[in-house]
Amino acid sequence: MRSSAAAIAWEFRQRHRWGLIALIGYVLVLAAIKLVVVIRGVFIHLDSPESFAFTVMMPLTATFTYLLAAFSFGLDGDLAARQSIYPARMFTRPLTTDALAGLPMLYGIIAMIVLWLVTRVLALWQTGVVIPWAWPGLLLASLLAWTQALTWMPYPLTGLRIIAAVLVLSTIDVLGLLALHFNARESVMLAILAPQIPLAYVVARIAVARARRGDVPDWRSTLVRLSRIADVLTYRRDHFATPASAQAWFEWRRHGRSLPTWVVILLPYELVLLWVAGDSTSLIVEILLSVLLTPPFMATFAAAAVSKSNQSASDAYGVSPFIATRPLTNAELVAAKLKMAIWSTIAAWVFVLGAIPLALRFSGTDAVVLEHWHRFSEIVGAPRALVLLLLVLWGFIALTWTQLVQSLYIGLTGRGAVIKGSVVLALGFFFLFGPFAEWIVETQRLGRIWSELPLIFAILVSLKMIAVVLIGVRLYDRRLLSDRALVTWAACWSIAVFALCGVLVWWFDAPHIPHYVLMLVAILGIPLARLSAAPLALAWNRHR
Amino acid sequence: MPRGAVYGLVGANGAGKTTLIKHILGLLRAESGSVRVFGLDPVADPVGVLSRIGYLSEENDLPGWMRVDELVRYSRAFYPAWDDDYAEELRQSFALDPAARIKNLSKGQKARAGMLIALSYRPDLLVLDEPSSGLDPIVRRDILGAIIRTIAEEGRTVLFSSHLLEEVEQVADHVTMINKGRIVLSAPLETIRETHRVNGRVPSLDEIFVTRVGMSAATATDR
Repeated sequence: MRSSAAAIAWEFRQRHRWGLIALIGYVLVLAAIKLVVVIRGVFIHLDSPESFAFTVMMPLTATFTYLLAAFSFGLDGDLAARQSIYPARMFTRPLTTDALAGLPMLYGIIAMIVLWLVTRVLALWQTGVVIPWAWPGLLLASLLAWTQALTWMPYPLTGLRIIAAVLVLSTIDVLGLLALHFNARESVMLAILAPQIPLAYVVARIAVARARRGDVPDWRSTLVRLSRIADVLTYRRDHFATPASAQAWFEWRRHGRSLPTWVVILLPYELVLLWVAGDSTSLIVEILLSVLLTPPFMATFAAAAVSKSNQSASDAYGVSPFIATRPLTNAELVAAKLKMAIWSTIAAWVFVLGAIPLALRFSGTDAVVLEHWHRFSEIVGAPRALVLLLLVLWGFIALTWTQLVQSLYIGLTGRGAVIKGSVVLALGFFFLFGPFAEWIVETQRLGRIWSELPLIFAILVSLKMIAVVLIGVRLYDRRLLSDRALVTWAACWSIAVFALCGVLVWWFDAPHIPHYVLMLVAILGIPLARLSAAPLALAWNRHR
Repeated sequence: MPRGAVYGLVGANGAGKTTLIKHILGLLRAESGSVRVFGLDPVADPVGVLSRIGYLSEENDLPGWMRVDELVRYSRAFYPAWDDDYAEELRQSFALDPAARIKNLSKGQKARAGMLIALSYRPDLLVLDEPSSGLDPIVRRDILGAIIRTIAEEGRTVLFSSHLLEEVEQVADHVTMINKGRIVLSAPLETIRETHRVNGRVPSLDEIFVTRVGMSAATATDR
């Protein structure tokens, strides 16, 4: 290699060659199909949103997410850490900071623009919608440039990178959605998006320069009083009664405070929107829904943050020898993590449930919400309305806990590829969920899906039960849980399912909803398979 | 390994010392053969084995956010035989500030903190993986002193791996050399010295190591 620029390009190409080969293969297949169709003179409209989603949106989103992670070095580091994600090994190369920041950004931007152009030329067919030529590519490039800048920046607090990235990237994403909604002119969008890349470069240049000289700001010392209060609250002066209580304390101090902290930081940004919502019921509902979805959403990404046991160790995702050599069974180690997940979930929801009424009251939107609540209570009756409210809240809280546990046990596997893959999958899911839901509503398929729900639920229950049986057999064979623990766990789950089913049957007292469907909902609603898999995941990691 | 012995585990980088120690601690599952510590399988019965082992990791991965006294309180919960007086004595002799956070300690102080929690419950087996790697002579002396004190207590066994063969010569009474995952020599130190005597001169462990590992590598190449 003759130049350092070529060497860096080679490193990207070599490291991600399999992803690139898959992408090129997909593009070639599309090109071949399109060529055959065009030669045959067949006229195809891709108006159908599902074909648009499956042909264009899904591969484009997956590729975009992959390129985002690859060019920002997001696959190499800890997203939640204060330190820059930019690989420290590159700082010792005889390159200027401009080149260190500029070259990966340049390659990433080229990749994004090529991705869009290839999609635009090869993957898009004639549609009823006017697809712009330039600005979506520039939007992808801007998102990448800002992601690079934000991930390379050292942060003063743990977890701040994720919050900053979510806020900045959501703003740019919303810009794109608004442009689509209002059919913005290409020139306007280009004028808005073009300055984003040089701006992001300046921020990235500052980030790399700071990371290169090891400058990691630390607000923990500035916020010394707060940390002292936190220490006083959790400082142990007395002895632990049991090893399990010591381990639960350890897990809470190590991982438990992340989710509540992230939620507390994000809540004001979301709730402040209530002040501009006015009397718009739909806007208020959307804001409240996004607030309620914040804890489970943030819990989904906890795996990447909570699983790293030792930043400096070569095997950073493994269980650290310090923890692995505690004289505790795998089940006891998992139980401590599950307890921590419960406390973490409760703490996060205490903030959410405390902040919502205050925000509604002081923004003046409480009148709108109360009016709708009274109307709903009159229709279904006060007890039913109250139970539904509690069920919905319980559902969100349970979803947070299961997402946190799922993240935890993905982390417990200790495999970097599994952990990072889960984050990429979750991001892909969130990118696709919106368009998919919109497609269902717009194509008026809700009725059809509703009529097929019993079948869908039955298939899901079958899959869940197969997974449970496989996990149960494995747990029994490897003696990771005692027979008594297995039976108690199964009994508790059954009681919870019957209790939920009873409540649902009472609530949906309608002849057109068969009771067996409610039973299926209850079986799906109470977590079992994912929780049972946790000891297996830990054993896989602890005894490699 | 007989009780009360001090085993020095020596070998080149990548020879398999840490892998062997991980097997003893149950951190690796044996692909073939079996591992027994105190007659127990460390993977199947981690509590039975780990509650009797004191371990100091090469990586020294003590949680940085803990204070020294929190580390002591946390660790004592796992070991019924924890001796508070002995722990306090060790803390004072190692000059560890109880209010100091682990992450703010120097490398040597971290190693001392690790030794403190590995010794305070008087484990039947003390496993030290490169305990003095990268440490200054004063900390190395402290660690060696702790090993000697452990030996002085009846019935305790020490297994420690090291690159510093002079250290091994000072405290070990049995030496095992491994190369590429295989034991090339395992015998009491005195026997090793006697059997390698050349023209009446007793070679150092360094010289014996180079000879043995060199021979083993040559044999492997011949095959």
